[in-house]
Amino acid sequence: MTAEQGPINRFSLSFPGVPANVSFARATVAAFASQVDQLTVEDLEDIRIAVSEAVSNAVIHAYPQGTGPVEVEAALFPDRLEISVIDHGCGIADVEQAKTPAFTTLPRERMGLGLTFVHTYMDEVRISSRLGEGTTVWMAKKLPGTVESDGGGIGTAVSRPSQ
Amino acid sequence: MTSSRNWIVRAEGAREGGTALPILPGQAVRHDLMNLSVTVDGTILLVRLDGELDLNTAPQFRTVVEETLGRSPHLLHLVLDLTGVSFVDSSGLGAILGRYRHFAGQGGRVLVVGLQPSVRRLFELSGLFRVMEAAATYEEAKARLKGGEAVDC
Repeated sequence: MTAEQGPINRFSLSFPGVPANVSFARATVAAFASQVDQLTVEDLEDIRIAVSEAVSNAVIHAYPQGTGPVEVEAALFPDRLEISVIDHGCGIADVEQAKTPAFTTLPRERMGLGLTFVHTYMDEVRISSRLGEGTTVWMAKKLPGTVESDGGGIGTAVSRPSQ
Repeated sequence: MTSSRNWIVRAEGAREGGTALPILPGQAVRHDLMNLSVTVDGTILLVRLDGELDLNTAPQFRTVVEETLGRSPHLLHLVLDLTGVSFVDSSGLGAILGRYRHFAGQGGRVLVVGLQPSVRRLFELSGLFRVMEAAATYEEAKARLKGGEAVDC
């Protein structure tokens, strides 16, 4: 097994999943990401939108009976920035269906574009979910100018979430 | 002096399905959510937004527009001035699309003004320009709306 190089920097954040914390979460991740010289203003904007979508999804969908905790973790590696948005809520019954553009379980003014935007604005996205246990949206932005292999994802010795 | 009424409104604590919020003419308040100013100009409703349009602020935007429509049912068109909006996500787009559906359903149009580059990119990506036009200024938007109306004015 290839030894994974540890992150250069990381943070984790836990907060109640309420709408007011969506802007807090994306601003915090953007502030963390802004330390990376290779990321452009546009990259930071991509990250803000992706985090906003993933956290909004957790706030809207994870805890239908009320409010629960949402966690955001970010880890900076030499070649990429990884971000995870984690909830311990009801889980997604069908992740593939949830990823379909315009699919939404809450049609009232929900466009069903949240996960589509996450995929559009980030380089790699993985969603793991278990009914009754929660959902993790893992996403990565590669850092321009670092070694990568086309089609093989970013980086080389990267451990991924196992689910 | 303009004949239009210019309201700076406060709509704090607006939530999905929330209670009606007071909108008082001349009330200018800063608050934690989004600053919205509502101007009724003939049959045009001009809403200037200032801040970030997301899950937290979209209900406030929706409530302010719906309450203004309740008070001024003759309003036919909507112009959204997003000059002061630095961030929109899919929740914000959903709120805009919801207002579009209302105005389009009444035979009106919705124009957006002052899109910052990142917001413009999101509009393009989501296909909102297929139903909504962008104009450089409110005056241009107004001229287009007037040009599109019947000649009996």
